[in-house]
Amino acid sequence: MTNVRAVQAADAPPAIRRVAIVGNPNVGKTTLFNRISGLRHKTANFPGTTQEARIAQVSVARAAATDDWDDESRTLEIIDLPGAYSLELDVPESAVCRDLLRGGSAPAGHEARAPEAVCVVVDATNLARGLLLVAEVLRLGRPVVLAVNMIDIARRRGLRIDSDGLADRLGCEVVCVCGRTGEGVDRLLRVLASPAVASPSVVPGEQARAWAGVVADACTEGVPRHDTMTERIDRVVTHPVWGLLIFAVVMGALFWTVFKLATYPMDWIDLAFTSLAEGVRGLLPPGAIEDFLASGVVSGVGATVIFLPQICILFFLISLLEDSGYLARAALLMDRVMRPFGLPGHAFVPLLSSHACALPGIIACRSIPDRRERLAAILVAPFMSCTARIPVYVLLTSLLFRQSASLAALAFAGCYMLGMAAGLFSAWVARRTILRGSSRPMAIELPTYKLPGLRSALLTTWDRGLVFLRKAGTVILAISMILWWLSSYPQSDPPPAAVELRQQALVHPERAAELTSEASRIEARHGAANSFAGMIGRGVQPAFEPLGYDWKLTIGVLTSFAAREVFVSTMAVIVSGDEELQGESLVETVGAGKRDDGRPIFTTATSWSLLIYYVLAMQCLPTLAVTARESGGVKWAFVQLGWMQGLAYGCAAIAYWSLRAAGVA
Amino acid sequence: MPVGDWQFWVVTACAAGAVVLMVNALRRKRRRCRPVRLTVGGEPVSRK
Repeated sequence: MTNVRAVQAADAPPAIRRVAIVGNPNVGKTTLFNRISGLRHKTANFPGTTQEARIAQVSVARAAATDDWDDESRTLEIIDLPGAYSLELDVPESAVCRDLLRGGSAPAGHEARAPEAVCVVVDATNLARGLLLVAEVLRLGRPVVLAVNMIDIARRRGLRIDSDGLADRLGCEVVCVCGRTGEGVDRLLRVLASPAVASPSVVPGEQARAWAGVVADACTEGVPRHDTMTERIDRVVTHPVWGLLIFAVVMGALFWTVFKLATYPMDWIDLAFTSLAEGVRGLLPPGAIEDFLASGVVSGVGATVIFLPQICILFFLISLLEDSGYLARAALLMDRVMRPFGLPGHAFVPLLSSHACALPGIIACRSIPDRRERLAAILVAPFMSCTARIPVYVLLTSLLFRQSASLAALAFAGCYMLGMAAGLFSAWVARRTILRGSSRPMAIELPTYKLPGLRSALLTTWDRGLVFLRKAGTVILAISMILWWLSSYPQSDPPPAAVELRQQALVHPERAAELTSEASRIEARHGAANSFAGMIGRGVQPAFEPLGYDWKLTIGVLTSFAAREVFVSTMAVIVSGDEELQGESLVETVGAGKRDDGRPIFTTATSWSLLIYYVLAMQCLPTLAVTARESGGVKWAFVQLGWMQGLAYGCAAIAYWSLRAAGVA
Repeated sequence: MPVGDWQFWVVTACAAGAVVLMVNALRRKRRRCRPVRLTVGGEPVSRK
């Protein structure tokens, strides 16, 4: 190998060597980073999945036979950067990579210095395109290691990469790797621990494209087998009519599967928590502690944990779709749909990410080149139904369609559609008022279809499930405990009607059970209405009167500002005082809750009104904070809050009064 | 309020603990948001 010298000979390296991973979008940088670091950051077969730099430290032990360094081990600080086609483009991801490689910036809390080595990741099946970026990085004069990734796919297509020839031509180390299986990763780490400096004269700047083509041709052996399968599938799935139909079918099937498959584990979890609550009641003597544990802790947490299967199945299926490469085609299709509303196809990924959580979705909006389009996407991202809304959707659609899982699934999917429609409408309004301006055409690279990785999908599912359970074990548990206390105190004297019923029970022993039960119900309702929660709910309730909410629903809506899914546990805790309902399933318990006047809390009109309110309302304080940060001003967060609340309130009120006018109580 | 009932004080202490837990969880979340944010020339990337 020529033009190579060990970097540690020239200057004393710092104790921790910084290595930056750069590459074109969707060449598997994050998969490789995860493999090296043992972390589990989100990966997808989709350009632009990484939007923020990620850092990990790894220790590389010395292998005496092969390594030319003396330390027992070396620590590498590896930074995974967003994908960029070039370092010289005027887009945020290029600017981030350019500045970090030149030592102009560093992640917060880290010293700003140029990395000791740059690991450029290229796709083995598209070497020529990756070499354009390699040429730019080589010109920086930093030690470079080229990782030729996805070598397994190249092999399957009949390609062989001449890594020695490539190393000679580039003047840097070249390692063939497969981030997915781990092939070559050990060697890559050893090379990164002792990088070599390439000769900067190798690559001519103005002739880089021709040079990349020549080098790629010279170093790639074998005739590539044409990927006719991808082309054949694309002819159908990107068709203007068939493509949209397939998209609708795929999304419909996704939600139906989520709803249908999750039914069984949900029933088991429900049964487990109901039995646990009954067990607590049987084990402890009646009193505040017994009620606190059974109604506050077990029922409160159980009401949220029950939705774990749906969240896991949804994330598993979305992860499979992403990894297959289908979602990039969906983005292309969606560009045609979103363009008339003033949003580019680039916004599809951020908006899709927002279905998991609006926070990463808003951060992903950085990939949208145009400022006005980016702001529009940020403003409408929270309309996409995040996972925190799932428990509320499931509860309300189950209450509305108790006898039909198919109709419930349809209503569930309809919530997602309504959120998307509201987002498109809001973007249309914004682009014609506060964000006027022309749009840029969209260009997106369509990745090759591949069999989705089960490991990646399972890891994503596991991570999201853990996040959900952690939330249930901390914030939701805490809110359930606080709510139980607020709805149990101060204790009030039993109302005269209840006292009279109890006296009658003494006189008529044959009807004692029935009369005592009725007295308990009246006492529970009276106690809850006069509790602290009742006072707060009744104080705010007039504002929600036009939507058909009583004070109990008002409390549910108010607590949702801490976390939307808390609504379900709030309702479970508030209605759990009714003795007649103890032992029933969650949906039955909450659905049978009564207002102070004895009418049901969840009428058809109220349930639809609530469902629409939860689809459209902004009830997430962290989202507002991220909007303010990413948009560069608090005013945009206020615009988002005001618009979403106004739209949610107006639409929920229209739904409620329309249904009442139509005779649906 | 049933101040003479010892069980009342136990559940009140638990509820107070829950308030502290929630405040701490929110504060930790805010701290965790910061680390890996990059800037270009001292300016947040989104403003470019």
